[in-house]
Amino acid sequence: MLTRLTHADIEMVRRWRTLPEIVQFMLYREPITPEMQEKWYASLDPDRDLFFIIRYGGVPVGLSDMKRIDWDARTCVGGIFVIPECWNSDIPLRATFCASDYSFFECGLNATLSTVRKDNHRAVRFNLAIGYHILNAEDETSLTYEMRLDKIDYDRATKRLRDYLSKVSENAR
Amino acid sequence: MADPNSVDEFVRNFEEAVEGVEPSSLNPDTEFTSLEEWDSLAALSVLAMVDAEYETEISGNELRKAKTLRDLFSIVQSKKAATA
Repeated sequence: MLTRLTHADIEMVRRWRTLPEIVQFMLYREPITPEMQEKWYASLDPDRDLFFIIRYGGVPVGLSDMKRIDWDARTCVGGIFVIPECWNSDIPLRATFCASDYSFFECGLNATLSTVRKDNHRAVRFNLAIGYHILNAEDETSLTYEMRLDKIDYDRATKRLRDYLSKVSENAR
Repeated sequence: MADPNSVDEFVRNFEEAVEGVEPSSLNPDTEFTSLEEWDSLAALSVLAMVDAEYETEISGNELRKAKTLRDLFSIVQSKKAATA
Protein backbone atom coordinates (compact mmCIF):
# COMPACT_ATOMS: atom_id res chain seq x y z
CA MET A 1 0.00 0.00 0.00
CA LEU A 2 1.14 3.53 -0.72
CA THR A 3 0.19 6.45 1.53
CA ARG A 4 0.98 10.07 0.81
CA LEU A 5 4.12 11.35 2.57
CA THR A 6 3.35 13.62 5.51
CA HIS A 7 5.56 15.85 7.61
CA ALA A 8 5.47 13.23 10.37
CA ASP A 9 7.27 10.79 8.04
CA ILE A 10 10.21 12.90 6.98
CA GLU A 11 12.63 12.09 9.81
CA MET A 12 12.02 8.37 9.25
CA VAL A 13 12.69 8.88 5.54
CA ARG A 14 15.86 10.84 6.30
CA ARG A 15 17.15 7.99 8.48
CA TRP A 16 16.48 5.48 5.68
CA ARG A 17 17.93 7.79 3.06
CA THR A 18 21.20 8.20 4.97
CA LEU A 19 21.81 4.47 5.51
CA PRO A 20 25.08 3.51 3.79
CA GLU A 21 23.32 0.70 1.92
CA ILE A 22 20.89 3.23 0.42
CA VAL A 23 23.33 6.11 -0.08
CA GLN A 24 25.64 4.04 -2.28
CA PHE A 25 22.99 3.96 -5.03
CA MET A 26 21.92 7.59 -4.81
CA LEU A 27 23.00 10.40 -7.09
CA TYR A 28 23.26 12.77 -4.10
CA ARG A 29 25.52 11.15 -1.51
CA GLU A 30 26.30 13.95 0.94
CA PRO A 31 24.97 13.80 4.52
CA ILE A 32 21.40 15.02 4.94
CA THR A 33 20.65 16.87 8.18
CA PRO A 34 17.18 17.22 9.73
CA GLU A 35 17.27 20.89 8.70
CA MET A 36 18.00 19.98 5.09
CA GLN A 37 15.17 17.47 5.19
CA GLU A 38 12.77 20.16 6.45
CA LYS A 39 13.80 22.46 3.62
CA TRP A 40 13.37 19.70 1.07
CA TYR A 41 9.87 18.91 2.37
CA ALA A 42 8.90 22.59 2.30
CA SER A 43 10.11 22.83 -1.30
CA LEU A 44 7.75 20.13 -2.60
CA ASP A 45 4.98 21.25 -4.91
CA PRO A 46 1.87 19.30 -3.86
CA ASP A 47 0.54 19.35 -7.42
CA ARG A 48 3.74 18.21 -9.11
CA ASP A 49 5.72 16.26 -6.49
CA LEU A 50 3.90 13.23 -5.13
CA PHE A 51 5.82 11.21 -2.55
CA PHE A 52 4.43 8.04 -0.99
CA ILE A 53 5.42 5.88 1.95
CA ILE A 54 5.44 2.20 0.95
CA ARG A 55 3.74 0.10 3.61
CA TYR A 56 3.79 -3.67 3.70
CA GLY A 57 1.52 -5.32 6.24
CA GLY A 58 1.04 -1.83 7.65
CA VAL A 59 4.75 -1.36 8.30
CA PRO A 60 6.57 1.50 6.51
CA VAL A 61 9.37 0.04 4.40
CA GLY A 62 10.28 2.60 1.77
CA LEU A 63 9.57 5.64 -0.34
CA SER A 64 8.17 5.92 -3.86
CA ASP A 65 7.90 9.14 -5.76
CA MET A 66 6.41 10.77 -8.84
CA LYS A 67 8.07 14.14 -8.98
CA ARG A 68 8.30 17.07 -11.39
CA ILE A 69 5.04 15.97 -12.99
CA ASP A 70 4.49 17.73 -16.30
CA TRP A 71 0.73 17.62 -16.69
CA ASP A 72 0.97 18.94 -20.28
CA ALA A 73 3.58 16.45 -21.50
CA ARG A 74 2.06 13.81 -19.19
CA THR A 75 5.40 12.74 -17.79
CA CYS A 76 7.01 12.55 -14.37
CA VAL A 77 10.31 11.59 -12.82
CA GLY A 78 9.96 8.36 -10.88
CA GLY A 79 11.94 6.91 -8.03
CA ILE A 80 11.81 4.29 -5.32
CA PHE A 81 13.84 2.89 -2.49
CA VAL A 82 13.05 0.32 0.17
CA ILE A 83 14.89 -0.51 3.37
CA PRO A 84 17.63 -3.13 2.98
CA GLU A 85 15.65 -5.75 4.93
CA CYS A 86 13.15 -5.83 2.07
CA TRP A 87 15.59 -6.00 -0.81
CA ASN A 88 15.28 -9.08 -3.00
CA SER A 89 11.77 -9.74 -1.79
CA ASP A 90 8.59 -9.27 -3.79
CA ILE A 91 7.99 -5.93 -2.02
CA PRO A 92 9.90 -3.52 -4.32
CA LEU A 93 8.15 -4.89 -7.40
CA ARG A 94 4.73 -4.76 -5.75
CA ALA A 95 5.38 -1.14 -4.76
CA THR A 96 6.60 -0.32 -8.26
CA PHE A 97 3.43 -1.79 -9.76
CA CYS A 98 1.28 0.24 -7.32
CA ALA A 99 3.07 3.48 -8.18
CA SER A 100 3.21 2.84 -11.93
CA ASP A 101 -0.42 1.73 -12.15
CA TYR A 102 -1.37 4.90 -10.28
CA SER A 103 0.66 7.18 -12.52
CA PHE A 104 -0.37 5.58 -15.82
CA PHE A 105 -3.90 4.38 -15.21
CA GLU A 106 -5.19 6.77 -12.53
CA CYS A 107 -3.30 10.00 -13.25
CA GLY A 108 -3.22 9.44 -17.00
CA LEU A 109 0.52 9.99 -17.44
CA ASN A 110 2.19 8.54 -20.52
CA ALA A 111 5.79 8.14 -19.41
CA THR A 112 8.07 8.03 -16.40
CA LEU A 113 11.67 9.22 -16.54
CA SER A 114 14.41 7.97 -14.28
CA THR A 115 18.12 8.57 -13.76
CA VAL A 116 20.04 5.52 -12.53
CA ARG A 117 23.71 5.15 -11.70
CA LYS A 118 25.37 2.83 -14.20
CA ASP A 119 27.02 0.91 -11.36
CA ASN A 120 23.60 0.15 -9.85
CA HIS A 121 23.34 -2.96 -11.99
CA ARG A 122 20.34 -4.38 -10.19
CA ALA A 123 18.30 -1.22 -10.63
CA VAL A 124 19.22 -1.02 -14.32
CA ARG A 125 18.26 -4.67 -14.83
CA PHE A 126 15.05 -4.18 -12.84
CA ASN A 127 14.05 -1.11 -14.86
CA LEU A 128 14.74 -2.83 -18.19
CA ALA A 129 12.66 -5.82 -17.10
CA ILE A 130 9.60 -3.67 -16.37
CA GLY A 131 9.83 -1.93 -19.76
CA TYR A 132 12.20 1.04 -19.38
CA HIS A 133 14.57 1.83 -22.21
CA ILE A 134 17.86 3.70 -22.03
CA LEU A 135 17.96 7.12 -23.68
CA ASN A 136 21.72 7.73 -23.50
CA ALA A 137 23.17 4.28 -24.13
CA GLU A 138 25.85 5.74 -26.44
CA ASP A 139 27.12 8.25 -23.89
CA GLU A 140 30.14 6.53 -22.34
CA THR A 141 31.22 9.58 -20.35
CA SER A 142 28.09 9.73 -18.21
CA LEU A 143 28.01 7.95 -14.85
CA THR A 144 24.25 7.57 -15.15
CA TYR A 145 21.66 6.16 -17.50
CA GLU A 146 18.73 8.33 -18.43
CA MET A 147 15.83 5.91 -18.69
CA ARG A 148 12.26 6.26 -19.91
CA LEU A 149 9.25 4.03 -19.26
CA ASP A 150 6.34 4.45 -21.63
CA LYS A 151 2.91 3.32 -20.54
CA ILE A 152 2.53 0.86 -23.42
CA ASP A 153 5.90 -0.77 -22.71
CA TYR A 154 5.14 -1.03 -19.00
CA ASP A 155 1.77 -2.60 -19.71
CA ARG A 156 3.27 -5.17 -22.06
CA ALA A 157 6.35 -6.04 -19.98
CA THR A 158 4.53 -6.48 -16.67
CA LYS A 159 1.08 -7.73 -17.64
CA ARG A 160 1.68 -11.37 -16.68
CA LEU A 161 2.90 -10.51 -13.17
CA ARG A 162 0.31 -7.78 -12.60
CA ASP A 163 -2.42 -10.23 -13.65
CA TYR A 164 -1.01 -12.72 -11.16
CA LEU A 165 -1.11 -10.13 -8.37
CA SER A 166 -4.66 -9.15 -9.28
CA LYS A 167 -5.68 -12.78 -9.07
CA VAL A 168 -4.12 -13.41 -5.66
CA SER A 169 -5.56 -10.14 -4.36
CA GLU A 170 -9.01 -11.24 -5.48
CA ASN A 171 -8.54 -14.62 -3.81
CA ALA A 172 -7.52 -12.92 -0.56
CA ARG A 173 -10.78 -10.94 -0.38
CA MET B 1 0.75 -28.94 -14.28
CA ALA B 2 4.03 -29.92 -12.65
CA ASP B 3 4.68 -33.08 -10.64
CA PRO B 4 4.20 -32.04 -6.99
CA ASN B 5 6.54 -34.80 -5.82
CA SER B 6 9.55 -34.00 -7.97
CA VAL B 7 12.03 -31.59 -6.46
CA ASP B 8 14.16 -31.84 -9.60
CA GLU B 9 11.28 -30.65 -11.76
CA PHE B 10 10.72 -27.84 -9.28
CA VAL B 11 14.34 -26.78 -9.69
CA ARG B 12 13.94 -26.76 -13.49
CA ASN B 13 10.76 -24.68 -13.17
CA PHE B 14 12.59 -22.27 -10.88
CA GLU B 15 15.41 -21.92 -13.42
CA GLU B 16 12.89 -21.11 -16.14
CA ALA B 17 11.07 -18.57 -13.98
CA VAL B 18 14.13 -16.55 -12.97
CA GLU B 19 15.56 -14.52 -15.81
CA GLY B 20 19.28 -14.96 -16.34
CA VAL B 21 19.64 -18.34 -14.62
CA GLU B 22 21.26 -20.95 -16.86
CA PRO B 23 19.37 -24.21 -17.38
CA SER B 24 20.64 -27.09 -15.21
CA SER B 25 22.82 -24.74 -13.17
CA LEU B 26 20.96 -25.18 -9.86
CA ASN B 27 20.18 -28.08 -7.54
CA PRO B 28 17.81 -28.60 -4.59
CA ASP B 29 20.42 -27.39 -2.12
CA THR B 30 21.06 -24.12 -3.92
CA GLU B 31 20.57 -21.13 -1.61
CA PHE B 32 18.53 -19.21 -4.10
CA THR B 33 18.54 -15.87 -2.28
CA SER B 34 22.32 -15.77 -2.78
CA LEU B 35 22.03 -15.95 -6.55
CA GLU B 36 23.11 -12.83 -8.40
CA GLU B 37 19.90 -13.04 -10.40
CA TRP B 38 17.74 -13.07 -7.25
CA ASP B 39 15.83 -9.82 -6.92
CA SER B 40 12.32 -8.51 -6.50
CA LEU B 41 11.38 -9.44 -10.04
CA ALA B 42 12.67 -12.98 -9.55
CA ALA B 43 10.76 -13.32 -6.28
CA LEU B 44 7.44 -12.37 -7.84
CA SER B 45 8.14 -14.50 -10.92
CA VAL B 46 8.67 -17.54 -8.67
CA LEU B 47 5.41 -16.87 -6.81
CA ALA B 48 3.64 -16.69 -10.18
CA MET B 49 5.35 -19.90 -11.35
CA VAL B 50 4.19 -21.76 -8.23
CA ASP B 51 0.66 -20.53 -8.81
CA ALA B 52 0.66 -21.57 -12.49
CA GLU B 53 2.55 -24.86 -12.28
CA TYR B 54 1.51 -26.16 -8.84
CA GLU B 55 -1.90 -24.51 -8.61
CA THR B 56 -1.23 -23.26 -5.12
CA GLU B 57 -0.40 -19.86 -3.69
CA ILE B 58 2.53 -19.09 -1.46
CA SER B 59 3.02 -15.65 0.03
CA GLY B 60 6.02 -13.39 -0.03
CA ASN B 61 6.48 -14.07 3.70
CA GLU B 62 6.56 -17.82 3.07
CA LEU B 63 9.05 -17.30 0.27
CA ARG B 64 11.29 -15.32 2.60
CA LYS B 65 11.35 -18.20 5.09
CA ALA B 66 13.00 -20.54 2.59
CA LYS B 67 16.76 -20.72 2.23
CA THR B 68 17.27 -23.48 -0.31
CA LEU B 69 15.18 -24.62 -3.25
CA ARG B 70 14.41 -27.78 -1.28
CA ASP B 71 13.01 -25.62 1.55
CA LEU B 72 10.87 -23.76 -0.94
CA PHE B 73 9.64 -26.95 -2.53
CA SER B 74 8.66 -28.27 0.92
CA ILE B 75 6.60 -25.14 1.50
CA VAL B 76 4.87 -25.63 -1.86
CA GLN B 77 4.16 -29.27 -1.03
CA SER B 78 2.74 -28.39 2.41
CA LYS B 79 0.50 -25.70 0.95
CA LYS B 80 -0.62 -28.04 -1.79
CA ALA B 81 -1.42 -30.77 0.76
CA ALA B 82 -3.30 -28.33 2.97
CA THR B 83 -5.55 -27.24 0.12
CA ALA B 84 -6.07 -30.73 -1.38
